[in-house]
Amino acid sequence: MTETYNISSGLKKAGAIFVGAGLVAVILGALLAGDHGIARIWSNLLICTYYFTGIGLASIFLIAAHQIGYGGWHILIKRIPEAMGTIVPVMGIFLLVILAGTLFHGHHLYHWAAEGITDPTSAQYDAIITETQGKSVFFNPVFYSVRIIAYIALWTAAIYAMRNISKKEDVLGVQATYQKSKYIAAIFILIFAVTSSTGAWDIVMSVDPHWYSTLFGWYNFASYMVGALATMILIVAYLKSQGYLKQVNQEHFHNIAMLMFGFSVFYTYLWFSQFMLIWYANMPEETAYFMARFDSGLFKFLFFLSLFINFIFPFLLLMRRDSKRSVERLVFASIVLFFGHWLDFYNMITPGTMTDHVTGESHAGFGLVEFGMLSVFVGIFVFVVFNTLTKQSLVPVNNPYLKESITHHTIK
Amino acid sequence: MDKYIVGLYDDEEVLLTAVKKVKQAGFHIHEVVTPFPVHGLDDALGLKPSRLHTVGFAGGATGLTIALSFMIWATAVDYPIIYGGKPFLSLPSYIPITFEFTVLLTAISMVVAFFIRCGLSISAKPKIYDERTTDYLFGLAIKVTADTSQDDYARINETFTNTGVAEIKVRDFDDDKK
Repeated sequence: MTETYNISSGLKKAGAIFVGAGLVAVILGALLAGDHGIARIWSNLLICTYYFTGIGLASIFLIAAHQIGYGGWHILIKRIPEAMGTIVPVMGIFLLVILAGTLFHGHHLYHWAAEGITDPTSAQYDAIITETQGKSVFFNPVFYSVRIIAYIALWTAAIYAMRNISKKEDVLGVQATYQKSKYIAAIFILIFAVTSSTGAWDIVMSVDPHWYSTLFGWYNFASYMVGALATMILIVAYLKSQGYLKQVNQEHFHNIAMLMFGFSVFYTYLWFSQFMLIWYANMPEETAYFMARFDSGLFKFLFFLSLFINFIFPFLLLMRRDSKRSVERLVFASIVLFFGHWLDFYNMITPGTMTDHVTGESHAGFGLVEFGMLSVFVGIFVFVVFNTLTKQSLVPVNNPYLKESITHHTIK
Repeated sequence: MDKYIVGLYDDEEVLLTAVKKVKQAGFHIHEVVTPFPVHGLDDALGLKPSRLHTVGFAGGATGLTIALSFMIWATAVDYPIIYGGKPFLSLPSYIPITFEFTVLLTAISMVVAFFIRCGLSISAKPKIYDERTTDYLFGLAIKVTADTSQDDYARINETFTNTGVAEIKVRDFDDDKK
């Protein structure tokens, strides 16, 4: 019953090509971008780090939610989201790099961290952050560092706890682990409930420090949740094409696709809730966020493009039952959605990071650096996740819900 | 004439094999009644997928059209009025009501279609082959007509017996009217 996975040399080569070609593209793109090349690299580092952290967290959240909700259908593919979770500690390193850049003014991703922002005599002085809204209480280097390090520590600890208990289950049997795994899953959900929201404020929303949106955390969560489900479909489809996971059939694909469809609609619901309230109320400190995205042709295009490929496309394609059961169509939809939510994060972050906060000039671009950075991270993701998959049996043989997962089917 | 031979089974696995065997023997199964949903029964009976979702889609499309066109007509054509400093025809403000109305008509049309299709109107008289099928027995009903010969009766009884039936009964709904 146990199934051992070995990375094929082709996949290793593909991963290396992704990283290598990505690095070349990033360097080339940064050189072409001239003065603002370095700023663009930082900005894209932030986008990709956050996106992949989110993908890792969302996949762990998916198993945790099934764990405490007595879910059983996913047991056959449980090891894939589990392995996807191990990307979070790796992304933690990049988060620390970005944090170091924030503290030592290596980049200008976060305007609130600029030198002299709270000093009335400085040219960088920002009255809104310092006095009007008093945001410097929350956004000051010390408290910010504590929070970022706490997120990384909590996420890493919770994800490793989930993984270890699942490893133990393979060896010791379910009697020893079942109850404990439920506690750990519940604790992870508690941690994630708070940190997904505050993390989104700290890492993404604070690139526009004057602006705030209460549902921003959930909006981010919905976005990377779709990314995680799309990645999961791609990995399961790849493993199946390599002859692994023989018991996984279209019933399981159907279920992941239903979740992907559902979360795409949920994403749009939150996207629209955020947009419509701001559009309707029309208050200057809030509309500034959307003004930045409507002023530039690039951002405006991406804004409506991401609505199209993240809502209308999956809504129409995945609505049909036979689409959810066709692996080819799902792989196509997953690739599009993976890029779609990456574009969404691009549009959340870039207008804030690539705009000069004093002159209001935008230096954003879209091209080699962006695709290069994504390619580097995809390469790292492939190495980390598939390497983790080799460490354990692909089928959790001792799980009490295994039979339920094997015989799972959806009602017509 | 509204008459059935009903085979009553006391196990779902036996029922599933019985359904296949009865079909193989060439009888048309009128209905199978179970106290709880039995997995794989739809496939064994060869039922077509439900078309209820098509009704839902039609209802939703109707709701979307009615809501959007009414709001556009009312606020932009018939009685244009400026509110919130927005243009007469400002689509984002229509979306919440459009969404709610779409969901409402989808749900209502599906419920109504389901009730009509299942014969669950207010004055409907339920056909109960045996009251125990709502508790612990599984019933498999084969319709008999005036053309059904004694030979057929014997063959149906024999098929039921061969599939491990717990009890065979003949149910004539015309008796209820007397």
